[in-house]
Amino acid sequence: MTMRLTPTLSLEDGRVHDETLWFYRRALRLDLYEFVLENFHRLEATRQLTKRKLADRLGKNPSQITRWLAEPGNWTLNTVSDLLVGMAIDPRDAIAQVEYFEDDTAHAAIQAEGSQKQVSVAKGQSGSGGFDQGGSESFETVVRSRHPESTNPESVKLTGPDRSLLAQLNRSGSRPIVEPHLAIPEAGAGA
Amino acid sequence: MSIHDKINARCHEDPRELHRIHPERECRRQRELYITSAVWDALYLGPHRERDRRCWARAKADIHKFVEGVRLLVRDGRPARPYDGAALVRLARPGQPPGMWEIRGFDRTPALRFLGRFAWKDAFVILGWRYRRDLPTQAEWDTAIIECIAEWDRLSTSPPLTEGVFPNDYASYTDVVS
Repeated sequence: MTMRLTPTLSLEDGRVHDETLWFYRRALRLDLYEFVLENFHRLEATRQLTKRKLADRLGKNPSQITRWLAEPGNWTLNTVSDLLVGMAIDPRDAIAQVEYFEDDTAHAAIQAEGSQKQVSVAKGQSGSGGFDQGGSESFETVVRSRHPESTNPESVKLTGPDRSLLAQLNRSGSRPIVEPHLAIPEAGAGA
Repeated sequence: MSIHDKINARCHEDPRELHRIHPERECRRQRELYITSAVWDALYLGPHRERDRRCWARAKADIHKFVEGVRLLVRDGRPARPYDGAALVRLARPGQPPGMWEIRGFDRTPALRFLGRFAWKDAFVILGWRYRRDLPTQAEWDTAIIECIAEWDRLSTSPPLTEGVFPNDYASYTDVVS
């Protein structure tokens, strides 16, 4: 049996150790770095993007892009967002893989709040989110469950799985959504 | 006995001479990473001085990312340029005995250096560590590397990976920092 070496995370524990905080800050930084770098290399390999073009798109000096891509040490959330938008990738996709609910118990708890539903998503139209596989679900219910401090779903910053619900709502006409269009223009089409 | 068998035998001895670090979450790629008992103790047992606790926590994240197959930024040991791009793996020092590498964090001035050798492609053995502040001159580097080579000879009578084209014959999924 392999012993777990990375810090465990549990709500049963008291104050989180500094080492745990430092470990996961670094681990998250490396994951985001990998996500950015993977996408840059994919675009570079398909000749859609170069460092110079990325620099032009962000209004930066190419040497700044080189520094950013060489190490994530000084990255802020703004850096991550800018680099991904420069690659025509929605930055929220970087956390789209997050599964909020790891088991059916949590899922059932969400469903139990069904009485508060205001906007329903038809069964069978579910996306890839971890919570929307069991039938009708409410966007507002989900948001309130995850962000009980908020009574206005519009004010909540949404992550990947939520966005899949938003897309469904958008398709069904329940909630028109206008998001900025991200695309890398063809060469010669102007930056 | 192949080098693969020797390394793995060291992981099952009592007391253990080598520990293998396994990925602890799903990952698309994996690398093999082995660390000596002394490095294991430093990484997971500590304790460390207050000012060093943060760099050890970060190093642990770097180590685990290595086995999860993160894209490696590698340097081939050329002299530093005005901007010395960070790298997770690079040759320990130009002009050193072949096959000595260091793992360092993605920091501009990483505080810790893990010295080791590739046993085979995508399999790295960390043989020792140093604080960067303890390596101010070439002489300290030489001493650290000699100690690591002695450790390698003690653990394995087989030569490390020293031939092939850098970096693709040493590790998959790499970028050379220029």
